Amino acid sequence: MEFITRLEELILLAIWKLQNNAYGVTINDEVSKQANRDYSMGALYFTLDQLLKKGYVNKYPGPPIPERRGRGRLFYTLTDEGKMALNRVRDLQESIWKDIPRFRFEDET
Amino acid sequence: MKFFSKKPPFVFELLLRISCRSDEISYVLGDFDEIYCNILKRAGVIKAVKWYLIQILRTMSLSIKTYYFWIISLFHNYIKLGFRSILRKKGFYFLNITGLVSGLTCFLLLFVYINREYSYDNYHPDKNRIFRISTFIEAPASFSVFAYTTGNLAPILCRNFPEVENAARIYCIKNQKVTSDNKSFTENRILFADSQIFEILSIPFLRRDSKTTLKGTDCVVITKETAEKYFGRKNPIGKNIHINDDEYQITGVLENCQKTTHLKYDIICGFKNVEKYSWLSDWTYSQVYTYVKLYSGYDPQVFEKKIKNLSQNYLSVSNSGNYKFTYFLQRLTELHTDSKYKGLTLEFEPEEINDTDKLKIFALINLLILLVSYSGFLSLSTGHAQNRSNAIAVRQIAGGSKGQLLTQLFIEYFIIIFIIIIMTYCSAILFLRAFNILFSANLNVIDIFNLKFVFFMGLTALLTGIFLSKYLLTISPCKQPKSLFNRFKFHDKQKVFFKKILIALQLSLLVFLVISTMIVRYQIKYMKDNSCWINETKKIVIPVADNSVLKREYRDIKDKFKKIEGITGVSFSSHVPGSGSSRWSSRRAGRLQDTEQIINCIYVDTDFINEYGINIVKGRNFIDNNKKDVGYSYLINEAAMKAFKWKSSAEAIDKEIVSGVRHIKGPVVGVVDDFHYKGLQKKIEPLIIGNSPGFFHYITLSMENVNFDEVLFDIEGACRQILVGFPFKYHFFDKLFDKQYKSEKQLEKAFSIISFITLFLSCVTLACLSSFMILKRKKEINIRRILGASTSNILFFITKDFIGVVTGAVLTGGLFSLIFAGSRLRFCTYKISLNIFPYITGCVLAAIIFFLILSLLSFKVSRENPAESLRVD
Repeated sequence: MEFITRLEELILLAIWKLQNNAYGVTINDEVSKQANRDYSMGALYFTLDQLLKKGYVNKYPGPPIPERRGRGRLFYTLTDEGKMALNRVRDLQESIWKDIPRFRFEDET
Repeated sequence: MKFFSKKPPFVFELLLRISCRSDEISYVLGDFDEIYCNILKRAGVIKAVKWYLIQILRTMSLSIKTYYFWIISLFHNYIKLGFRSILRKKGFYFLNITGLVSGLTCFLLLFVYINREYSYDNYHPDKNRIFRISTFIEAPASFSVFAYTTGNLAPILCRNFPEVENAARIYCIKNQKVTSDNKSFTENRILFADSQIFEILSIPFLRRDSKTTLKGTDCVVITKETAEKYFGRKNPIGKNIHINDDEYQITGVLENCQKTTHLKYDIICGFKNVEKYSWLSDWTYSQVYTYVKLYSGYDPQVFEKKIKNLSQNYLSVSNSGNYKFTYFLQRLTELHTDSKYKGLTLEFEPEEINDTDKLKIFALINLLILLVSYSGFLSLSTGHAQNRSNAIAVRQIAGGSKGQLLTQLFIEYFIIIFIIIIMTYCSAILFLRAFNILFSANLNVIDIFNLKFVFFMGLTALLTGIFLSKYLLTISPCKQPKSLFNRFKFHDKQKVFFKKILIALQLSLLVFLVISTMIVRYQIKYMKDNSCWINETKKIVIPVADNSVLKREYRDIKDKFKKIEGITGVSFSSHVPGSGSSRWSSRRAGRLQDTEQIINCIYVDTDFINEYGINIVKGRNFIDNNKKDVGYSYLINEAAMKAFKWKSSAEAIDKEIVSGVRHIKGPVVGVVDDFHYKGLQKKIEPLIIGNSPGFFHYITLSMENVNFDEVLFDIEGACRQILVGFPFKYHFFDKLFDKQYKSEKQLEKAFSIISFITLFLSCVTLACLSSFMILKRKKEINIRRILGASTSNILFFITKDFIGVVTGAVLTGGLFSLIFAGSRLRFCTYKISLNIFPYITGCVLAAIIFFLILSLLSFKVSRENPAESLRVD
């Protein structure tokens, strides 16, 4: 079975959360906020390209905006395969973490 | 400034476009713009730019990682495969690479050397307009060519000829004692030059105190090396320097003279010092070098015609004494390699020249080496390629595209070629010193990195790699799509024929080189043996530069020497055999018209003839204490007798001849045998021997077999007062005479080394090629063995194919060496007779090598179990 990577998972979930507002800048903000880590724009775009190739997301261009000097925004939405991939990963997560307690260490409160 | 606008800098966008390969680059840029504006509003320009820069850097590194990762990883894989295939067959590749490297090293070193010799004097500006004028002197009975001209020529050229931009004279003296700052050395490269010489030749200054450096009488400029020798690091300008007791003042320092020039200098003095000599304005006396620079647009041929007979305007028959002086031009750039007039070499060149004929032979040999080693490498590689064809085929089947396969093979060959190039340069640097000694060249490490050669090597490497990889593809068993290259696919029979031709070529070259080396060696040995200077007593020769003491007190000094134990003979002379001779115009007294010519002259004392074992045919030797002999009498050799048109030696005795710088008339008291006072390359020239102590410059001492060091100490003591401050130097006479054969020895050494390398290369190539061809027929051989063939039958069967190759090679090599030897020996007067021995040796050697290798291989094949190769998997 094919599984998506962690970054891909984050991006797909961010796209789903952002619904109609999922383009480069917002996806980057959301993912960085969730993961507490500063992803570069390049990494994001490459991963988005990969997801496009695999068929997990769709893209559609937005209207031009004067703020961006005449360039539009590229919006992404999830496809059914993408949702199925997310489900697979979630099932996997749940099944392997089943019956395993949260690890505790002595210096944790 | 861009930074203060709302737009992010243009450069950043450009970088993003390059590094981000996404299709929707404009959207990406739009996103970046948005964030940039946000940060700009929030935190200011600097933070925004910083953010942008960081993003770019991270994006670029990521793009390299993802998009180029696979390509790099594939290359990494190919390189690993290449190395693995080399390591699998270490022995074969070692031989292959070593062969090519050794050939290429020779080629590189010789190439650089020849290139350098032809590039002498290329650094002068306007070198195409600079010429040297030389003189062709016709006497009634002979002619000669001097590199000198008369001292009058240069000023007249400047004044009367509008084509001449500048003309200058240079007068060269050697072996002078130079003292300065309490240090004294013997300097050998002292020039007296007109100040215009700096406009003609490029003699760059390091330091000068005023513009008028050579106009004054006692001004001198010295090179940096010389300055350091005498003054260390102190400034030499303004100091005094003594050249042979004349005092001068140093007014400038020159850069060290270039090594690649025909006229080398250490000290240059003003020409005014030469103007006190009376011979300077004598039209018949040629002793200076004249250089002219013409204006551009004037044809040098036309100018040459104009000055050709210039001397006739200033000379009359009475004061020229029947000599005719013709002037001709020589290009500055040809002075080192091509200094000849109608086939005659010039006399009195400033430095040794390197004849262009000899250089052409070296270039030819060079090319041959390259061809041999390169063809060997190619044949070996293509032969080895057979073994790789299966692997390539499998790869093709597994889905490799043509481009990928080519890349893989090309990288593999490129690794080999890269290793070869590096090894060539390393070994060239290693053997540079040995090469310098062998060829008496002066190459530095930097010279090896010659641009032409690097370019040539790079191109060849590229082409070789492409050819080999393509070739490898064509021989793979899988079906090839029809392409242009595949149309030239060779059939098996043609390939075998091609390989045989290669083997034949190498063998014939080997035969040629071996035979030529032997012939050259024989020739040198013959010349040495026949020079008849093999005396039992050891002889040493002491040169005396300043003979002021010697010419006065030579009788006392001779007695002093004779008293030293161990010395059996002493002789003084102006020259010794092997050190050249003077040349003066001489004639029979009263027979001006038909006997006046320039003849070699030497001046000796009464013991010279006995010391050197020269045979007196008729008449007598000089007698000691005979007033009539000293300064007047002459001895002549048989060649001179013929030149003076005497029919027999009896006729010549007591007749008078005129010779020498002061045209002294004196009787011929004896005729001597023709003895070799120069090398045996040419016929023995006429020689006049006079008896004037004023010209004594050499002391010859014959010794018995005693303790050399003790005797040397005594000799040095006796010499101290003669040498007047010069250091004591001595030479062994036989070594001094051997210097005559320097260029022949160079040729011999070159040939020997090249023969050895060719021998090595041939053995390697032969072994590998033959083994390939035999392995191909392994099944056939094994079937024959099963059917009952013995080892000797197998050997015969294998060699049967190659007999044609060997015969052809031997014949070709022998023929070429015959032609070569004939053409070289034609110019030698004393040559070896046609000797069959070298030819037989060469042919037999080649045949032996070949059959040895073949028999070894056939033994190897015969040893194996025949069933092994016939088994079908």
